[in-house]
Amino acid sequence: MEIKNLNNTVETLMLEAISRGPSYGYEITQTVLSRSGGQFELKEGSLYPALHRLERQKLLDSYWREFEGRRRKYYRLTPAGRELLKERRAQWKSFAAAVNGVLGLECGVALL
Amino acid sequence: MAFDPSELTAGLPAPAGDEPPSLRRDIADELADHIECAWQRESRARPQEGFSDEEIKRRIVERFGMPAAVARRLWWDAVKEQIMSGRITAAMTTLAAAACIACCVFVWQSTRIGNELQAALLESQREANLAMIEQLKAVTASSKPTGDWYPLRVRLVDEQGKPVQGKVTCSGAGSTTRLAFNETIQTSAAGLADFGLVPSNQYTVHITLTALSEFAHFSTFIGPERPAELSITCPTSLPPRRPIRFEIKPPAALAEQPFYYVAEVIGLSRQIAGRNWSTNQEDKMIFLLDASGQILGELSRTEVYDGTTDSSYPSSSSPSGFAMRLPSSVTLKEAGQPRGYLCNVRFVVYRAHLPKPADAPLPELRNLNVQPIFRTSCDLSLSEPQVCKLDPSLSLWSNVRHVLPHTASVPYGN
Repeated sequence: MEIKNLNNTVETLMLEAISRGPSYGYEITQTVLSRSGGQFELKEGSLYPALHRLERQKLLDSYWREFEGRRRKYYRLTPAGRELLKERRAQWKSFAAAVNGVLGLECGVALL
Repeated sequence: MAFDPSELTAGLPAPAGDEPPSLRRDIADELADHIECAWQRESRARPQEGFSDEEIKRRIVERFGMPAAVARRLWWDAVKEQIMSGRITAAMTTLAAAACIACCVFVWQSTRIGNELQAALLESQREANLAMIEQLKAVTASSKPTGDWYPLRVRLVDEQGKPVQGKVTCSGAGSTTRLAFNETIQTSAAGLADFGLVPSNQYTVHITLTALSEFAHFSTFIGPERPAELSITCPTSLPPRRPIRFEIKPPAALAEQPFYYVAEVIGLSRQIAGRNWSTNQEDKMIFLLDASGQILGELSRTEVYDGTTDSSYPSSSSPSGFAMRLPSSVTLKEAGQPRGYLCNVRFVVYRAHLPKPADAPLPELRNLNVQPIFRTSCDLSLSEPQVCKLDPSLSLWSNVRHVLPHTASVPYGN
């Protein structure tokens, strides 16, 4: 995994947040925030452009639902998005193991 | 509601033609939902802090960013591909159209220039051709020389001025190709042989009248101050045949000799309008005469000239130094009459070795075995009936006497 692929980390977190079922923008930010222990707070200004980009790349699809008198847009993974998330997980494991090895936090490289 | 959705998209550019119709509303609704969620959470999560609505809104905007700016970015992200694609397509279309127009203009200009050049070239060629035609017309019409070239035309007419058909050959001798001119032309229905322009030079003109087997030739100079057309008066019919007789009177000393004579009527010609016309030599007549000059018959040309020559025959005065021997057998045909030309009659004296018996068959003469003695000639005009005479005063006879002892004597018929 190359260092430059860290730029995809936000997308990976978003895909992971959606992977457990359809979700909408605000819920995705809250999911990431809570599951990261309050460490990762996605800026909405970058959240929605990323969601729309993933939708144009056919990694997500969306639908609308009525909620309390307003329209809400839900996102869900497509098979291609699910496959990409699988790859990203594996890459992150390899990357984290390598970084841990360098930092002396774990011995060796984690097996995939 | 914290934000009016319509306010979120109010600052967007005017809708593009190919923009999805629900795009702006979808963006506004999605952002409005997010902000509402955030508003509710902020309101519920920190009631004890007692933030005012304005403070909550400020905190949301601080974290979210300006909703209108986010909406503009989402809109741009959604439409830029279409817009850019459309703009690129439009630009490419425009470029392609411009290129096509440029090509068309280039082709049109090239074609126009090419056509103009071709038209100019054709026009100049046409003008040059017209000038050349005019020049030729002027030369032909006036018969005036151009430079040192002059017209050469020969017209054949009869004594009444009517056209005559014939072949005209003109040849100019010279050391250069320009002067070495030689051309034969069959006259037109008007009797004209037009050789065009020829260099100033001396030319030999040879005219052949095929129908009459007659020809004439003369020399003329083509150049300045000379007539452009030579009018030649030609014969139109053969002259009538005329009877001819021969009278041969040798000196007394030779009167008893068994002589035969071959008389060739040659050099046939006539004068027409001061110009000499000759007939084909094939038409000459050859007579065989007895000792008195009586015509025994006519010999064929082949029989006379296919005879053997006798170069050992003594000749004291003959310039030729030889004489022809007749073949041992000749066939005579009935003698005709020569046509009324000017002619030369050439005699050759032959000596039979013994006199012919009175009953010897004629016209066939077998084993004639005669030897030529000598020859002489005389000119004769056959325009009127003529008597061709060999009288005793001719020097011929002294020559005959001189060579007579050298001739052998063989009986007739052997």
